Amino acid sequence: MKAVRLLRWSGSVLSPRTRPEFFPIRQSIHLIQCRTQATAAATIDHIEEASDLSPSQPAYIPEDVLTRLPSPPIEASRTSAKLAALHARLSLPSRLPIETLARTLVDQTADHNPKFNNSSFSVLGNDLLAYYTSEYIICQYPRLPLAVVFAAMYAYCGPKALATITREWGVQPAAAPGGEVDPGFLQFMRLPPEPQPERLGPELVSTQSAMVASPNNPNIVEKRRRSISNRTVYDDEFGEPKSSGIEQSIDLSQGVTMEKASANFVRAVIGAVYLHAGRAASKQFYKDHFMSRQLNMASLFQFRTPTKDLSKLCAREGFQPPIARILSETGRLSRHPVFVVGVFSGKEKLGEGAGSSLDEARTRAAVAALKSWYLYSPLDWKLPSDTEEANAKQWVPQMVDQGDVVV
Amino acid sequence: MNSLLPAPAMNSASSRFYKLCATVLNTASKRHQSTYRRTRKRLNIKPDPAFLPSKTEAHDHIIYNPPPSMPNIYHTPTIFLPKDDKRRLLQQQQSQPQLAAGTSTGVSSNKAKMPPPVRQPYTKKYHLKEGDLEEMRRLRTEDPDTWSANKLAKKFDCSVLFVSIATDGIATRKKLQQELVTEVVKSNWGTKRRLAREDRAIRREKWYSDA
Repeated sequence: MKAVRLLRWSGSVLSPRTRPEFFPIRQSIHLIQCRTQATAAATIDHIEEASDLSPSQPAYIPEDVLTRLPSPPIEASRTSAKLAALHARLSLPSRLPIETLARTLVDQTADHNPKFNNSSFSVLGNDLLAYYTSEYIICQYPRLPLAVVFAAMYAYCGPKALATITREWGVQPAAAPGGEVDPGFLQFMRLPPEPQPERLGPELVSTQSAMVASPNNPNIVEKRRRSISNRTVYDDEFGEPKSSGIEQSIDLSQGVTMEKASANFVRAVIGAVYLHAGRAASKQFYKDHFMSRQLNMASLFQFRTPTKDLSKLCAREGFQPPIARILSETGRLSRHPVFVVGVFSGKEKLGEGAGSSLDEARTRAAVAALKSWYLYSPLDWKLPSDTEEANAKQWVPQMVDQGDVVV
Repeated sequence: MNSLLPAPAMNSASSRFYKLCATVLNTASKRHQSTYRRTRKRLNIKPDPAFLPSKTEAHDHIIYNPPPSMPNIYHTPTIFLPKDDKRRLLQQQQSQPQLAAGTSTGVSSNKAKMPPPVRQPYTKKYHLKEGDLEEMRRLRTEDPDTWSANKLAKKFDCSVLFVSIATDGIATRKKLQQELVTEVVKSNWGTKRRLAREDRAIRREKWYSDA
């Protein structure tokens, strides 16, 4: 079987994308041509018409036609300096056509037609992003508690992080979507200018029971115990309840926040890279833009009873029971004493903490010991997705931990 | 290797420096000085020998004298490493020569004195029987004002936590009463005290997340 070689900026392999609602009212050959992408769908007349146009001079589309379009025509993307600059700035693979990059910038609130917006790309991109990020976190820190994994997932690929990435990539939003807008702008319908209280992200993921909307009716709020294992099964990749389809349809008519539109754009870019350039290229793109971001995992922890947790951990692992010992102290009878306390299991020091009271120093030492247990990282960790390529090394099973301490 | 080890606490560079500064800058008994010149002159102290060019090293070299800091939690303690981790062997090799250098024989290194514990370690006794627990509950039910959790703990020689678990839900009236008293006391606090207490609670929350 012959391998299909894709050309550079291979717009010719794209599926034909036409707007059916424009055919009956518009007899103008311009419009059909400008909204038809592939030669496969075009008639011979159209091809002849297209060949008449020189590449330096794009097809002229009248203003009244342009303003009727919900998003910029495909031809405009070939002449947009912003788009070409974005393509070069992100060093996207040359197989990714510039027309597709333009499509990733159109949100579904700007253009409801799924052939012209980025919704399908962003679904794929979201799945890829969640897969790559979760394997990266779990292989690097195999002992991490699940609540911390959720928080780390949110920090790496949550909507806030993706909105920041969009800003860093230099993508600007258009004031309002439309056919006359430069396709290099991010296009979405904005929410009406009323105060919209943002839902707070799970910065500290609590393991306590919380008020949750029931899946059948979002208006009825029921109290249900949300354990961590419950979240892994029913909730999304950040441990938050999945949004229902009804809510999304309301959003579509009203508009979206800039954060949500930016997040969908970034996801769509990853999905588009995967579709056009393949698995290896999308993995490389993920490495360049997401794994390069730094996150201090130690700042995501919040314990309730660290000393109790530590003694449970030592009992579970067969270590000697932890004993807090005063390593050094100064000014015990003064106004500002400082104690340095270490937690020892037998002769091994597990952690060290300093504080202005013995209790504080002891608690901090236990917290440090627990963190150094959970933040263990193997020396040569490897990602499962790295072994997918043909010339990859043999897969060595990673360490799997027993799980976090339950008191 | 020995030069890298910290000196004993009594003769450390910083303690000597502070003593010197204290003697130099103690002007309490001296007459008024109109300029800063004499102080500046006295403060021109010879640096610690650790920072001076070494007499044993002929060429430029790195001076390793780091300031004291908390250990990094990303450096996993040896005991926390899995059995097959390469770092386990490495850290054991690293720690053995130090022990040998610090003490004259290997036997005494095993009996090296550990720092004093914050609380005296104790072993749980498990000495209370079912009858004792019933007696405890009876006392608490009959007269919760006299038989507080603290008194019961002393009488039965166990911890207050154990008493609270054993007599859970018996003296609810007393608990409500105590909550009411606390509320009244808190309502009498002024702004300053309330703010100070709230700040303290916030700082206390940080104990459980910082490290």
